Amino acid sequence: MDIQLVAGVDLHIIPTKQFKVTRILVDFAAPQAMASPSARNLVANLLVTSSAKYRTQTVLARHLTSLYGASLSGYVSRVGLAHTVRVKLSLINDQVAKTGLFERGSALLKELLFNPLVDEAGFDQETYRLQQANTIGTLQSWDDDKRFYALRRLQQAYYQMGAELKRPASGTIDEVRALTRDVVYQAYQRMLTYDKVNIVVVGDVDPAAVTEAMRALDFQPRTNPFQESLLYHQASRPAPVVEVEHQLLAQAKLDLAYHLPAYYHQENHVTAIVLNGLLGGTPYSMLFTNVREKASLAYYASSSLRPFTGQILVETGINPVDQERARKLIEQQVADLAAGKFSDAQFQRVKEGLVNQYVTGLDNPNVLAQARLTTALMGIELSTGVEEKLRSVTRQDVCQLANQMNLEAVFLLDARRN
Amino acid sequence: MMEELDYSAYGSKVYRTTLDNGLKVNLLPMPNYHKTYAILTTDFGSVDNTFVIDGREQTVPNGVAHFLEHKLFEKEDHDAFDLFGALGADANAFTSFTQTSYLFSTTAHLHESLDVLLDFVFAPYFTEKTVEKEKGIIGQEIQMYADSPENRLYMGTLGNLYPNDPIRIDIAGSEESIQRITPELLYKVHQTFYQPGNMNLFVAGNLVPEQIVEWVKQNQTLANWPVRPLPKHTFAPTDPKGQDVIAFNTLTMPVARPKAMIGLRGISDFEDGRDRLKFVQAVGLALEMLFDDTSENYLQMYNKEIIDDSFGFGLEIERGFHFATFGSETNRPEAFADAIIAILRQANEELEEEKDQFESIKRGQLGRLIGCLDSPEQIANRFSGNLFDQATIFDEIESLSQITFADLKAALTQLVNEKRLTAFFVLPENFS
Repeated sequence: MDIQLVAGVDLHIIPTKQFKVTRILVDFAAPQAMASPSARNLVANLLVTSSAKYRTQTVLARHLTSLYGASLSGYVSRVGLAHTVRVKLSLINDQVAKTGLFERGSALLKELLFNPLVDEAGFDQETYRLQQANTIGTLQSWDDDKRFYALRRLQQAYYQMGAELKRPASGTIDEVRALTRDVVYQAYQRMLTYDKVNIVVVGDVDPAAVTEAMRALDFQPRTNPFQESLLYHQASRPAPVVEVEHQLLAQAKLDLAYHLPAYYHQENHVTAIVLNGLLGGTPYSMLFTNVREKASLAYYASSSLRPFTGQILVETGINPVDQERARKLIEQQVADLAAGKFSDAQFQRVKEGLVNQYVTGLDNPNVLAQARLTTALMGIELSTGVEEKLRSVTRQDVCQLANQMNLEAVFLLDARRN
Repeated sequence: MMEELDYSAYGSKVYRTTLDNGLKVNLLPMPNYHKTYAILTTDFGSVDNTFVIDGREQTVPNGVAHFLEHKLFEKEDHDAFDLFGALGADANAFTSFTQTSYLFSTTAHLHESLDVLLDFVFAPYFTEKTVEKEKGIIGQEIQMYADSPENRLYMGTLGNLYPNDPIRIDIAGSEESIQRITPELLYKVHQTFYQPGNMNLFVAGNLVPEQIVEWVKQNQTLANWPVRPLPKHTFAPTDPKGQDVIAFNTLTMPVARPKAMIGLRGISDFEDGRDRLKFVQAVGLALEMLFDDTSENYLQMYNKEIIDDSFGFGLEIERGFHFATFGSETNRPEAFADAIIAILRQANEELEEEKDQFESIKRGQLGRLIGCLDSPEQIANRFSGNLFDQATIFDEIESLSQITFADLKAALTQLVNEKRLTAFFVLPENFS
């Protein structure tokens, strides 16, 4: 159920009796080129820390607890060329709580989004100082997660010079450090005024009551800031960019980025999903069975599809001495995929696994909300008949698409023991 | 006979039975759900490296439970993983300190998937060659944990809390200990702990209870169960009073920021499983009142930049032991340790000060527990069998709603003792 509240602000309601928790997801989207990821990361943080009425996080946390342990989060994300700030509130539904929680939750959202703790110079000084320090701390700690670190370095190597996506979606430590509370406040105001807003509500709710409550948020009309597609394209490279970094670790990480000309919702998107499932996206994949299990060469070996940037990313954690063998073996899997060197049984398993994954997702309110949000941002309808489409992908479809894969970037986090 | 537990307040029923061979079965139908989730658990985990069978005490190398979990999927001419795959089911397994679980979720072919699960878990197949190969894979896994500062912080804290017990060893064992694992050993351990009488099956989601029981019975009748004695778990901390706790330790490794953890070892005994559950819930509420973001303590530590959003805490309880941990990334690890210990030292006074928050905190906990009802996985995974005397999530909700403020004080008094506290820091090089 889709309702335009005002121009540029849409409400999507997914009523269902299935869940005891109701989720409200508010998504602010701006074109990547016009947004500072660092400032918006801080905005997301500040919005869920306090407000003019709930002046400390303690007071806010107590209020949430009193709403039957409602949970609140704010974070930034990216959908292709769109940078998004998301605020999510989850509440036990009114039937189970036997009280009007949804109404109180909506009132809280309104307070948080429209009434932050500010003074004439911007966000409250002390709150700002702490959240800035915390955001820096969080970004620093991310570097301790070596798998994630390697993947981010791979992405940076992949994107061409000057590409907006080269900037991490959550910003950088240096940028966050250089921000001031008035600059971040301006980013907040721009977000509130100009961003495309999508609100998704999933749960056992009365659509009329939800519409009324969300109308009361009182968003002002705006023009859609997205004039062009959210999909990212870049010219193919004749040879991959290769970057190596040395750190003192027990395990090395070898990650490869391939370009794959198959984008979200395009005709070959479902083929790409199967291709990725077969290469490394499922436990029945070639990377898992041949690199991890048969060759005993890696603790993890997987791939993921990035349908907004036209990529497949391969991640492995390996013994440092095995790096050359591992790379050869990974590239061999891609070649085998293109040559159709996989069994029918494996192909069927992957497809059935993907069907199962899809149907299982229907039981997950977060998956439902995400999917609705993505289609709303893309301005398209939710796909139907997904199970059929997955099952009808042929071996030939996969081989043809795999032949178009091109290795564009390699990142090796080398581990040397002293 | 199938027992029917009616939880009408939540429109749910749990069906329970024990098969002739001893396997305990719990079933929760969830209308409107597409998927079914099944988890088969044996009462055997990483700490169980000594046990008594046939009156003889046995010792096995660290990491056996986890190794067995990995190897059980592989059979002579197939891999159980592939069978699940052919059915479109999603399978996995995990090992904890005291349990090993095998699970799948599926949206079709439930009967066949259930057969695959029961068949592969109960029918082992190990060879020299496959066991040797697995050592490479698990060696990688151990290395990966060694690179994770979070894991090192946690294991370091456990090392201080239980310096003489296998709890301090990584669940996967060590690169050295797994070298001593052989097919014979795996068979022996399997024969001992993977008996239906030592196991339970929980299925939640899209299902018809009578049908599931029938299928499981059929499967288990086909299997030929030799009568064997059940193993006796002998694991208990070496020093039951916990006087061997090491007060402090640090580890230096390449990390961006220091990480600090406080550990508190409990030594309480419990009358029964429900008493244990009540203790866990009371401690959970008490710790929340003292430390979570609704508390004055939290705000003070946060504003002094002793903690940040990474701060977390909790009580873990398993067969034979329990402990609480409090951890954070912090640029001031010593101030962190001092602050946490200071609060724990006067826990009861602190609780008294926050007393007016009790009802609200309890309501919040109840709400979060109710929220778990949206997930077949969470409902089934929470089920801890004997540990809480077969309590289901609905029993947990009921038990929680009965807890009083006095229970919190009593539980904390039992738990907190300065001599059983420890601090562990993971520090970057050149930290001063």
